[in-house]
Amino acid sequence: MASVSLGENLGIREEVIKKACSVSMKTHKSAGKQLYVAEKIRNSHELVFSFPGSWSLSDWFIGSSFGEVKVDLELFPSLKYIGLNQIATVNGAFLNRFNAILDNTQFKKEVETAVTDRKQVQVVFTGHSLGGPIAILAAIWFLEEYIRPDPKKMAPLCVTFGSPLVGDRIMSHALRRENWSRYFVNFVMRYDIVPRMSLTPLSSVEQQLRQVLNFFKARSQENVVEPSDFFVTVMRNALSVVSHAACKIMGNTNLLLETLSNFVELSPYRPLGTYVFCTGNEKLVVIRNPDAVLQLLFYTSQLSSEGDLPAVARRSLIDHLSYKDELEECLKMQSVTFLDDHHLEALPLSDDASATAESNMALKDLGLSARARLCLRAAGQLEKQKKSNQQAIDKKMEDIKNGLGKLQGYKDKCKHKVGYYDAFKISEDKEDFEANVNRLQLAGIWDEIIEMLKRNELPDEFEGRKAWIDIGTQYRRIVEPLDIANYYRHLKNEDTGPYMERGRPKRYKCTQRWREHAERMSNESLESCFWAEAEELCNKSGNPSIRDRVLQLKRRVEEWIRNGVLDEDVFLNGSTFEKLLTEHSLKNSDQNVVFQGSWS
Amino acid sequence: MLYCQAFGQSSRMNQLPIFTSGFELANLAVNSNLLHLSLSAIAALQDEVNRFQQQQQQSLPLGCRVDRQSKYTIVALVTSPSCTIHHLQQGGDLVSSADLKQKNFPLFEFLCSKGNPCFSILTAAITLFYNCFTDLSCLRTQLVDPVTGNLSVDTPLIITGNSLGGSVASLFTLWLLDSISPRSNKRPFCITFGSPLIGNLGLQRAISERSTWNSCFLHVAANQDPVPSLFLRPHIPQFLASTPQTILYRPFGAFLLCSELGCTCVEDPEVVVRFLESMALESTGSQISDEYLLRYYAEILETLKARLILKRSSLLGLSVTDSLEAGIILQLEAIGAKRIQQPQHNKDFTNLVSKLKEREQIRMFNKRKALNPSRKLNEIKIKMAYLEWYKKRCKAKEIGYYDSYKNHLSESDRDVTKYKKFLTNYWKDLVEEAEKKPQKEGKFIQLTWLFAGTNYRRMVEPLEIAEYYRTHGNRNYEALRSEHYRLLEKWQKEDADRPTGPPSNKKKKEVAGALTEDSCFWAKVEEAIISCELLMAPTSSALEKQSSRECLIDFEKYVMEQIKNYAVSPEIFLRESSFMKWWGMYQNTASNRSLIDFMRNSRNVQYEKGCF
Repeated sequence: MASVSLGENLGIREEVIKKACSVSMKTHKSAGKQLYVAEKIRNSHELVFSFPGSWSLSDWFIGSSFGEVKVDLELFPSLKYIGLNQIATVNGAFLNRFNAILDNTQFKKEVETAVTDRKQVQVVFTGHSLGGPIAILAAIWFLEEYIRPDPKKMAPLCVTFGSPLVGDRIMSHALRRENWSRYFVNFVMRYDIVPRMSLTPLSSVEQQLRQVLNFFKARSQENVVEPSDFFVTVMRNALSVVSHAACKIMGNTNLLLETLSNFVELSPYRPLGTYVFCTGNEKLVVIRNPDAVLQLLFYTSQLSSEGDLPAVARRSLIDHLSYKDELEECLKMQSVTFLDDHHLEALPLSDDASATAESNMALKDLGLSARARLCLRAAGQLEKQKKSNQQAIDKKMEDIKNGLGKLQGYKDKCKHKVGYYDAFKISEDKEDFEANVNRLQLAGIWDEIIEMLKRNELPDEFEGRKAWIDIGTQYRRIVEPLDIANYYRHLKNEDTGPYMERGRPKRYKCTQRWREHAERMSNESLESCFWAEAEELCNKSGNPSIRDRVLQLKRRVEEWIRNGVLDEDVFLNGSTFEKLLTEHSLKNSDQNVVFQGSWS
Repeated sequence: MLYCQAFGQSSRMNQLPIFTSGFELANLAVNSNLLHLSLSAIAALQDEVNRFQQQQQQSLPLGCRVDRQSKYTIVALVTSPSCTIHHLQQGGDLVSSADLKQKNFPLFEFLCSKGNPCFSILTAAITLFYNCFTDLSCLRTQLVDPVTGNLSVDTPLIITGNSLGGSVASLFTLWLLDSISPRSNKRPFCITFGSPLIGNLGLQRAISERSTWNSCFLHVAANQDPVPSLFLRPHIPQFLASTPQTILYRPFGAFLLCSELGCTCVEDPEVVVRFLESMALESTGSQISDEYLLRYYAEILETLKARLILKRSSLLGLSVTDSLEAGIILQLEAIGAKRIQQPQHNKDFTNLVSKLKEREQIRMFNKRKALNPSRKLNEIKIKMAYLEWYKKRCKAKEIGYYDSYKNHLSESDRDVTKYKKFLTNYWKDLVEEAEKKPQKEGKFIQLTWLFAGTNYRRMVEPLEIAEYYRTHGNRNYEALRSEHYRLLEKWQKEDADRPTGPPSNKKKKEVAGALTEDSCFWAKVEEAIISCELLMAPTSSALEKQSSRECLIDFEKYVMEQIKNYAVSPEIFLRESSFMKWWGMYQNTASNRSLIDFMRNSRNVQYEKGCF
């Protein structure tokens, strides 16, 4: 498995990893004085931004239980589950600290200089301990700020050492969707307690945590009163999170899981990016599957026997401080195991299997029990299942195109009459009926896709795929007017309420958000549902005060037509929209003439 | 049709690797502290009850205490020391729900449904419950708000008990669950320790029929406690072969099975039984006696909790590569199945493992199958769209879809038969399922599907009627009407349960495209035609003529009411329709003034526009 070196596999020069590590450790010295340190690597094009840690409690968490807050979408517009409109959660204390850096320093300016440098400088964000989360947030900010507008720019790197977890599952999902996950590399020592600590409600262990932080601050000079208790608490909380997650990835059907979840406090935080575990004897294990990483955070620290507790508990603290030496050895040895999804699903279940000796040795060094291995298998299997679900719906793309082709034909045909919106609303002819069947068939396919998104059954990358975003937009533009026509034909607005408020199917909301995100639009793109507004205005006919709104709608429609996202057939004589304009004497005299020219 | 193969999942089903997550769930349960808190509450109460007994020289049948802690509210139930295992061993018989009803204790009658009409409960448990009914009623009023149907405690509610106390806790929880509104998302959580099985297949079904109830129970059973497996097999072995299902004990809820080596959590009743059997076999000879059981559970849980963060060495050999099999073997190891080491038992063990594997596969298969009910709904909508189109075309031919289908005029009628069949099969199944469900649960299904169901009934039942009267001489459709139409109509009426005022403007506007509300309208028309023929036939007797005339007068009145309510589709007035045929025969004998006026002056044109 390990024919490539660590650096090649991660896409980072090992020089950079070493430098990042030494700078990160050094930066702690400036804690309290400087919020970050920028340093160029000699004879190369990397500029390293390193963030110091902090040993004060309020920098680790604020508020209650896990101290989580929703991210600010203005600052991090990508950190969401687009289709379902769910916003990522982040540790509030970390976010505050990062915001302080962004607001108060030369940081932005210095980054800007690096980005505009002609020599293609690569920006590297790094941090040890609490510096890690800040480096991660800075890297995400950089990606949003520079790479999203211009993907050709030099991508940044983020390398952390013993970093606590920053955000929830949605954050990791979003990074994978944007294909940014690969820029994040996190090194974790086998027993280092800090990454696991994020799975414990820190508010409940304040006293112990303060002592642990003091221990780190004093560089292990000071004794922690009872490291064993703290270790056990952290491990037990980690176990709850990990067991809950394992039930999910194993396809648990036992509803008791839901009942228990209501009674237990579970941390929202999840790992993101690539993880490199250091076994503690000069070996490295590289893993990218976020579900598997979560399981490893618990299982690699599991004890072999009760007698080990004091030693391991002590080591869980010391490991946090020994990245530099350990990494140097590891990079020299280059004994690296890569656990990709296809390795995971076929993982040997016991130690003494000899067939895949080398990788198995590393697993043994991480101390993985048979149960741990089953969990890793399940994580690999789930990812594979998601990929195969995706293939299955990719095959549906042809059917969607076919259906859309037919409806486009219907639309074109109706241009000779009142336009397809009103033709469909009256539904007099065979074509109208056939269009309805097409509409329903497409709805079936799309509803199924939405269901899969809701159940998390598609790979994280799915919502970022251009082909699907494009066909989603096309689908929405052609078919949504028919759904609106259907809604108002059956007068559903009278008992259910306006289409936009009560009747709009998820399949349109979701595809609309896909496009808005892909094109970084700041406003909603409602071109496909302008008919709903037209209908609502029609229902208020006789009320002269709405003339302004009609006029505004007309202006927007004209703009959409100019931008090529809406067809001119909306102005056809006899159409609902044309009637509305006529009623409010807002019709341009030349509107129809212009249009006639364009399609004949 | 492009839609029909829905992602082809079922064909791949059997090759998908499966995992069993019983371990992970057990970890979560043991790690959650809920078990420890419950057990301490029981132990504290037990002490109190024991002290009371010593002081007062009399025994309480049941002690109970509500413990409001900061995070949870724990209700503990314990039996007096006289209710012991001997007590159980003597009285291990079941009493049926029918008997309970007869004995004037129909409290649990709500568990019966049409699909599952009766159940049986352990006599010892229900007797104890009955004896303490006043206390328990009082307890219930403390816990449930009778007006809103929500739990009235602020923190999550745990009901717990050990041994027979646990059985009462289970029954009490069932009673609470029935008192809580199905819309409420807060439900009690019942945790029992070392309780006997308390019911048969009927009880198990009754609980699992309700989607959320089964998950409210967690029964903890440790391997050296003889009570949980006490009633697994009928106590008189020679009856084994001929024992009817109704007197066999069956588990419900989830079970946390444990030994000092580990624990696992299972829910499938079949699997629970096998695991319990396995534990009973292993532990014969090392059973813990009554008075130490509570302490035994406390110790086991303490051990398990401490071991959670320890690795467990396993005997899992190299030969096991299948994830599911490995998971099952590890689970058996955890509950103390030592047979793995004993070669002479190996065959039994292999059999057991493969049985358990099979159950997991079935479970997974069912889960995947149940995933997507809305996919079917889209198919239904498409079929309905076809029928709508058929209706439209017939209207253009001035005949109406009812008569067109009755006369079998065109090629497309055959397609219509196909769609009709598809839709009818679908709805028959769905209605049958909903009907079998317990009332509250069924009601919920009904509401979500009612709109589509009503639409279906109004569109398709006329076709059914057409088919029926196509055969000459058939009469009285309504008496032979299919049950599912009758139920769909009944549910719709129950739902629309409000006084009908004059038709709304919306209804008037929509009448042109609307379906006739009374889906049996055409059956009434057919009967009217037959009456008309009888009335005019010279061969009819005076009596026949008299009753025909009465029928016709009723029908006239009925039609006029429907028209006034905008409840019939204007398509009935199409030239070729049966209704017009009837009017043609009858108009000279007609007596209802408003109807005559409406028909003679072609008011139907205004009617269609909604301005009659």
